[in-house]
Amino acid sequence: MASQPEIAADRLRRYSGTGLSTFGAAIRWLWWFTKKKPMGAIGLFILTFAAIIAVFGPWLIPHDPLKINSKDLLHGPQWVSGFVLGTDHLGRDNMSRLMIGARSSLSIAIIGVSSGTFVGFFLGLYSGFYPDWRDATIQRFVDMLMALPILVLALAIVAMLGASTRNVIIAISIIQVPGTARIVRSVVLSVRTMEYVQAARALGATDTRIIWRHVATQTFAPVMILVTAALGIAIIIEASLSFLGLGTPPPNPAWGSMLAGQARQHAEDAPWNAVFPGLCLAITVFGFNMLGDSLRDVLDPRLRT
Amino acid sequence: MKNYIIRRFFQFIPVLIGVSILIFILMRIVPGDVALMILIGPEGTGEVDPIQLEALRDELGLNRPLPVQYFTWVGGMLKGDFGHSLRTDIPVFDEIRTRFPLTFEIATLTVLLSMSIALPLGIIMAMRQDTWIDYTARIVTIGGLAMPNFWVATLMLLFMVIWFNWIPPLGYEHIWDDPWANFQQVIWGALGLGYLLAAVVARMTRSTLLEVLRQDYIRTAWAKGLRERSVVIRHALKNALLPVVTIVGLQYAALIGGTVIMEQIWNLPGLGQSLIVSINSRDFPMVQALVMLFAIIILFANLVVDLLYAWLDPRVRYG
Repeated sequence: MASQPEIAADRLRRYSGTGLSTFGAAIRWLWWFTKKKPMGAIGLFILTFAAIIAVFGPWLIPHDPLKINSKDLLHGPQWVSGFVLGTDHLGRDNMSRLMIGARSSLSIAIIGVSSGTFVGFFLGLYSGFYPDWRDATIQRFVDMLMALPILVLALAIVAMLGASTRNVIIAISIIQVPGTARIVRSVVLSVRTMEYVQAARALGATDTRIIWRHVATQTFAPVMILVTAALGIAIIIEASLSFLGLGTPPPNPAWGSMLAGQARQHAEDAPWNAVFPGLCLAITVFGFNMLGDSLRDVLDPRLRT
Repeated sequence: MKNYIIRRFFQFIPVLIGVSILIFILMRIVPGDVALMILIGPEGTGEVDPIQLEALRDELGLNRPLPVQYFTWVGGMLKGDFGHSLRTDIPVFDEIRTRFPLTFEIATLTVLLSMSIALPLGIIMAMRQDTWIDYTARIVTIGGLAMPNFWVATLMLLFMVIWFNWIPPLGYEHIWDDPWANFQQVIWGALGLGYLLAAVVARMTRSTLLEVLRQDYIRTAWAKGLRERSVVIRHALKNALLPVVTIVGLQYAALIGGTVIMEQIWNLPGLGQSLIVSINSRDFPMVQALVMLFAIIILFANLVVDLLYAWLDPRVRYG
């Protein structure tokens, strides 16, 4: 019996090579994935929903997220008044702020993780392909990055650079480098001695061509799994930083900063302010975790940690 | 075993040196001038006088060549001199010494709490796979992975205030002065952090135990007619706990980051709170020393985990 990843890969190949359009193949594969891993599909659904809100948020918001309504301070969640999720201590509409917050939260996570993954990917590829002094140097560097506590590292970077969106992105991408480099390196190490790589070399392919054409393509599954999991972590880090006042500067809304300060001072009379932003965070991270776990099971169960 | 300890210890030193270089470089390659940042202040409104700027740069030693700066810093640390805080002007080492016990207390309490919950929970989840116990526990642990710990802490505060109208005693009490008040203050931070740690460990225990339970020697144990308790605890658990040890070691980094947030939320004067204050006041020597200290703690935790692993699994030390 073929193993799970083989079946998954086979499905992907069959659906994409049977004259079906790429779109049709994707839909078929999605359907198969949903049946196989319903929790993963729920995660995917949550994330699609979050992405739609993040992209179209500015056109969907019911109120101006920055507008201060002095008459509606700490207004409870109410359908008829138009403040569906209530207002904060300045009378700003929570729902609009959460929707705009989704935009910054997701974009910071995606940009940070993808740029960090890109660097880690390069390091891992070359480190695994040249197991000599280059590998040793890169790996020691990775060891050191791994020894630093993630949040403290992010805090230190943002502290030195000043609190801004760009600096949070830099912090998140640096955090992402060592893990990616490790995983990619381990795949490259196992692939580089395989026969088809030797065949390519015998045909006169250059190192660069082998690395990019034949080795890099093998790292697709693990990197994708890693990125999905890392996005969830990145969202928590971004929220933690803005919670501590080191993320997106006010008055711009961010999920983390919406939970800080005033939300806790008014916890007694306006508990909704302390509940909804956290709920958004938890649901989004849950989505990434579910999707990541299911992708791992389907694409590469060896990576289970 | 002795050889392994010695070997492992000699690998520890270069990494430690490397980390110090890395922190040093990170603190300097970041775009932006630390002296300029201090003068401008957090609001970005301060006046910048070029002469004053130059004087401050001199005082911080930023005008000297990088290698000289590095060796001054490391040399100082080896002699126990971590520099002086820019904010309070007291030696960094004294500040660390007074604050360290609290952070250590939170971290220890977190590990103890989460282990005592997570290990039995993980074992039960694996033994009763796909029953309602398993499903409930899995949902609870997934929640622990998805909920940011500062939100968990906020919710705990919320419930205590609204339902019981109770808040932890204000004003930090040292553990030797008033252990009960101290416990009431520290336990919430440990609980908030422990939820995440317990979730990770319980899931890990469950999955490794499930894997081990399918192995041949376990079937043999069943076939011998051993009781379930004996099969799981005496035979399966010994092998299943090995990866769990590693995970706990790796989680130490997350734990340290978590104490920073918990100390901030519950207003506890530990190292993490000091880090936040130092960052906000641009207390550059303090930040540098604290990050280094955190890195040392994590490296040390990793070392302990490796040694423990070698002790538990002889294949590691002879391999």
